[in-house]
Amino acid sequence: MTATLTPTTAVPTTKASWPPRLVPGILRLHRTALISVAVIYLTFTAIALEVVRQVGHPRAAILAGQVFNGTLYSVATYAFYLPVLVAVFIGAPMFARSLETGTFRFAWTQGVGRRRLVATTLMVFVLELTVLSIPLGIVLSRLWFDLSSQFWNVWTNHVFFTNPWMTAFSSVIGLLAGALLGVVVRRVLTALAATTATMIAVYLWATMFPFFQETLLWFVKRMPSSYAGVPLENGNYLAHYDYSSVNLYFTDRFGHVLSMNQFYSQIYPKLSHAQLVALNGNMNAELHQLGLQEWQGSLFHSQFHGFLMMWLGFGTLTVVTLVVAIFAFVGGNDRLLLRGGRR
Amino acid sequence: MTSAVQIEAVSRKFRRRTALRSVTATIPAGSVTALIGSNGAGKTTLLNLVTGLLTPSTGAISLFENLAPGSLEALGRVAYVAQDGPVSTSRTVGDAVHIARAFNTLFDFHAAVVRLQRLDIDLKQRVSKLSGGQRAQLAITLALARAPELLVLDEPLSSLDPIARRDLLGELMGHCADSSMTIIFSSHVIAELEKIASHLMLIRDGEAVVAGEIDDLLEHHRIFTGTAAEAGFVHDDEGSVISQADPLTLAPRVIRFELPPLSNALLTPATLEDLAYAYLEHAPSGSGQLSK
Repeated sequence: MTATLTPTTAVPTTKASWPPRLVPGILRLHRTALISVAVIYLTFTAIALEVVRQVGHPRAAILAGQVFNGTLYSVATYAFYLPVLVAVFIGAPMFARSLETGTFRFAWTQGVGRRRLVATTLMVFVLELTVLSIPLGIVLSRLWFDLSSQFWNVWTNHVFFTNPWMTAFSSVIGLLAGALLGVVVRRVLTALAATTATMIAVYLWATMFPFFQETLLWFVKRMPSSYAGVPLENGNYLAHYDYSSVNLYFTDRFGHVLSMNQFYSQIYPKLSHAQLVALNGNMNAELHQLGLQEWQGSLFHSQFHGFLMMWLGFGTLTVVTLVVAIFAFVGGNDRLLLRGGRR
Repeated sequence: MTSAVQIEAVSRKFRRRTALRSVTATIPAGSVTALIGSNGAGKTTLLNLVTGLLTPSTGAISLFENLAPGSLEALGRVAYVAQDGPVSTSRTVGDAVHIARAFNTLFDFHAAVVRLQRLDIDLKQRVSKLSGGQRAQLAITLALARAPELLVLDEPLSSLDPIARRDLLGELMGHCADSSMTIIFSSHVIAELEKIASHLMLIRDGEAVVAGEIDDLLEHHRIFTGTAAEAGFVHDDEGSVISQADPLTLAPRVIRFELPPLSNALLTPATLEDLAYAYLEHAPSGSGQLSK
């Protein structure tokens, strides 16, 4: 068994800039994971579409006592957990597997550099998840918004998740969280376990302390003018209301968020009797009398727009933080951008 | 003579363990350097440092006079064949070649495919189905196809059969003759390294106990064949005992001389293997010095 490789005449690959050159390699390297993601998301989209096709308007169907495929509908609801699936089975092993088996030594010593490799890998998956999540989110939002009265309230995590942008953000954040844990622990099984535990913790936290609470209103604080809060008579703005419980968040006229304590100490005593009845009784009619609008699920609702802006800010911040953390753990001293030209 | 790798007082610590201690060495461009050491001595750590997979805790390494290991400029000129598999084992050999082409600016795709075909390695076969030797050959093929200026090989011979070893060594010698490629070669197969290596770097317990040009080192070392009583006649102030043949009689085995010794009936030339065993097994700490 003899072989020679002479003379060595390595030739430049045709594509000069690195992302187009790297993408085919990434597609080959992660083909199984990429195909799995596509199959899962397209399947859920198809199921949700079928539910919509069957009944057209699920809430109307329920109210009219019509029967539609409850199994398919139940399956569609599990789309809420897709980010968990992505985090555990796609994100966690993405880098952990090569770090565990040692094949990273091959990948990270190739001419392209490890940071570019990691960046392109993440870009490919993020792009795929975004493209697949948006149509899924659009279809799911149709189901959830229409069925919002069947759930606790319109501000539940399901509603936020099923916003197309949030579907994408949730999936991408899940992927990055899993990838980060994989890079940190460098073992596939440990990464799977750590990611599962983390995602369960996040979902539990989200259930007990909804995402949109005060800590995440930073975007409102930063850009109050962009927030379309509902004005109150006393000059404050209603940032969030939850008509199934007294769970209110207010901003003052400058957009500063008031905590519940601040609200109860500063605003509550000043409210009129009608306002108190409305708040404590959670009576929609009184809210209307106060000039507040009952939530109507719509992509074009001004209040929704405000929250969407907030979520985009939160999502972007989280994504950037996770990416920076991944690169910090990956290390390397190759530059993503070359000074004075491309390789 | 320009240097391919300049290692200056490099140490590397992992939490509680120090893998390398203040290693200083120069690897000349165009040389074939044999890196020898017992298991856990720090060879792989040193190679990981040279290829930029690790960074030194202290000290510095520069490649080709001024490049930092792991930088894009350096990565384009260095190929590393690690002990582990070349790519994900779930991919095919063909995938591995395509992936390597995508990951490198310079890559001789045709030559890589031809070499694999000559080795009877099916491009459609999964990497996981390859034998250890075939995986090593795949990794070496992908590295050679990049036409690197510095080729770093971490125990590439361990999984090859004797014929494949001989062929690979011959092939590497051919590359060195045809180009100015520098090779750093970590291996336990000392006898075979002797055929190809021009320089030696010997690591023990994280320290480089000897480094330099092999011919020069052999010229300064001799095998002592006399008794302990006769030993004084041959080394005294001129040489230092590196190893002892018999711990009871304290008769020296390998002696290092500051200057090449005159011919003596009690001294015979040392081989690379003698030298390696002497420094790895017997030499007291600090007995070795870096010649460069």
